[in-house]
Amino acid sequence: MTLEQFLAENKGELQDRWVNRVLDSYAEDAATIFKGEQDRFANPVGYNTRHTLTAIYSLLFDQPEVDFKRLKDELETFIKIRAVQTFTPASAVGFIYDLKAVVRKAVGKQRDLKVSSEEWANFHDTLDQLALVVFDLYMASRERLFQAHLNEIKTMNHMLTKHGCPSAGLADKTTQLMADVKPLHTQSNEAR
Amino acid sequence: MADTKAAEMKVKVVKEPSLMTGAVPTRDWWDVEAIFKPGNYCYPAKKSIAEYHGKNLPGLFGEPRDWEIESDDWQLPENWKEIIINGIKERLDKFRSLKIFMDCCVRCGACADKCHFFLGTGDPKNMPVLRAELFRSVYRNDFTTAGRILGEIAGARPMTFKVLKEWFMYFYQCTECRRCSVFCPYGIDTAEVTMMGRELLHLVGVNTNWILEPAANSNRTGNHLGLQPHTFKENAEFLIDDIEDATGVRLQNLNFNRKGAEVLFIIPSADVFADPGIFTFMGYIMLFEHIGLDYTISTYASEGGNFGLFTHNSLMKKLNAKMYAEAKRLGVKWILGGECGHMWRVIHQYMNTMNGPADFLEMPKSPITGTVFDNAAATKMVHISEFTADLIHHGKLKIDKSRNDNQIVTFHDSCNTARGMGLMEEPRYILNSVCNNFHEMPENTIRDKTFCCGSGTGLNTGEIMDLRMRAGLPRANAVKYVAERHGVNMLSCVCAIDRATLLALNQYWNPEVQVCGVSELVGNALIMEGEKERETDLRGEPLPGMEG
Repeated sequence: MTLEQFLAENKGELQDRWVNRVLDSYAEDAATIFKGEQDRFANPVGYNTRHTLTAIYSLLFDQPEVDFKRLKDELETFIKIRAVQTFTPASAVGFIYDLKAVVRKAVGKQRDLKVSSEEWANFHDTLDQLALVVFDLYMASRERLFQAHLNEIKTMNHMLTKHGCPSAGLADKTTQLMADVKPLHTQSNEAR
Repeated sequence: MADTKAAEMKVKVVKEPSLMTGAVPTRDWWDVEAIFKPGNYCYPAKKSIAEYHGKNLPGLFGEPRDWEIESDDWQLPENWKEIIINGIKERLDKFRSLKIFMDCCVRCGACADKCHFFLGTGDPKNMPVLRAELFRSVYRNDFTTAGRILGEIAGARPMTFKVLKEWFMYFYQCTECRRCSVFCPYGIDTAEVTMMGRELLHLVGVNTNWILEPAANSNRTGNHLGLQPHTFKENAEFLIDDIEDATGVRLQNLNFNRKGAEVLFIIPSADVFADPGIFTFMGYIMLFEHIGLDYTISTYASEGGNFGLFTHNSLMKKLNAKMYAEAKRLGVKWILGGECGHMWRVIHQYMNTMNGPADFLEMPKSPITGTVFDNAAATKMVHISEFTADLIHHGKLKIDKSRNDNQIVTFHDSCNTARGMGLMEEPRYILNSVCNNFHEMPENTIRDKTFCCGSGTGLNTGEIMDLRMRAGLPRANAVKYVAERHGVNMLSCVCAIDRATLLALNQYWNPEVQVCGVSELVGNALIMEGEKERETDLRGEPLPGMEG
């Protein structure tokens, strides 16, 4: 049996182990709930983790060629979740390497399975490519977060506490609020 | 009451995930300290703001000072523990609900996975039961026999600086949305536990600027931003130009501080200056012009929002009272309220006890349909959605639904209006009357089970943007579902904080979905007398068929 066949035949079990290992990155009590609750709206973290990782596994190992466009689409929400939780960047994207560990351990238990170094190299290359995709998505998520923050500043909501009144905001040269503190003419380009 | 269950809970919390695997070492929950880092806390109040509140309400806002949350010295008064324990005693005597909430929880766990903060963060201390336990453990220690004698075994622990830090961390990771209480078999209102926790923190001067400064502005000039009367008026009048651009009609009826008007209209002030609230405001005043309502707007009661609710009941009472003081001064018959969140929570749940009954006002009666709003008998204040739905029901509005055909709309029930006052059908009735494309989000994310925007109770500040995104995940997750399934591109709501915060939430999670107030869609659909052929909606976007 080749590694490819092993990954296909043991798909369900390996996916489960991977998902559980990733959900173990949350506190024990949270992980129990995230693993158990099946409703996707009552358990967005658990659902998205399971849904994304199982889909990714299929995309990586079911086809001879990896469809990176679909891979990216499937990953987006999951990475967005990891990107705003309290993980370090490395922990947020470390789930890829969890799969390496899960597969290596499962292969080790199969005495009749001899995986060639070439097969291992291919396997690792595939996951390394995945890591690069995930790195891009993680950074895009963080940039989007800061953009949302910036947009909020531009819509004057920040004025709530920075200045006593709009004229005080006008006088504050350092905050460059000149454009913002004028009453917004909603049809103007400025307001769009 | 002996309470060993708390000790048996053995709840574990995150210490720090392993860098590589993310695996989490665990410890019992109360051994884990709250650690403040940039991004997980709101900035403390400026000294001048704390001084201002201290002058108005002596003793309730602690010692004004400059202090840093990340420091281990919060410059608390020497007797801060005594202040907190006395504060708990005073509240247990005053609020019977608090006493019951402290005693009657059996830790069944029904609430554990219902909080949006828990679902988004995975932090067990955001389970409502455990958040309340932060308070209960101190209560047990000082106010129950078992706690005094058995200490930790009975789930009791003394008030320490470590506990105070936990309180500040987790009572400001609760938006008082009350979703957990919907699922509690005992009806424990964890929001009220948070409210008490925040009151106690304020007593020793532990506070946030994002809440206290708007509350100070609101007390002084009438609204959160501190807009003075002329500015407030100019901002509102400026929107008349925009309505004229879109409809060709120049509204004549917008007026301020007019004595003898039939109705006083009170809005969240963001509706006159912040995008997209301004479009909601345009919808309101177009509706009033359309039906010829005799109304006025106060430049002092120019804020429905009540940040006092997030601090201390005395400040909440004071800010609520100014609305009624203005109604009295202007001699109106009743009050109409705009699309605001916590204004309605305060009106529905607390106004009558604090400032009511409003006997000097008349029972609200729609001058157009004759409908008597006897549901507002005590407060004399009617919600704009109730008022509008009644007008539509009686066929009093000329509506062209097709003008909203570019909008595929869903509706976010704001916690305060849905769970706080039971307003669930009226906005939907309006949306179905002014739009052809309306789709509900999944059942367990709407109506009384609605998920919070994640930024209510004064947490809508930029310094905790990551936290807001985590807390808003359950809501955004449901929006994403209808966006993918039905092509929803507009998230409507009846709350100004929602209009501001869902915007940021969607920019992160669902960038294709915009946010609007329900009255904006009403304004789009209204056929105004003497209007030109409408080519754009109130945002200046082309109407369906006018894209060329």
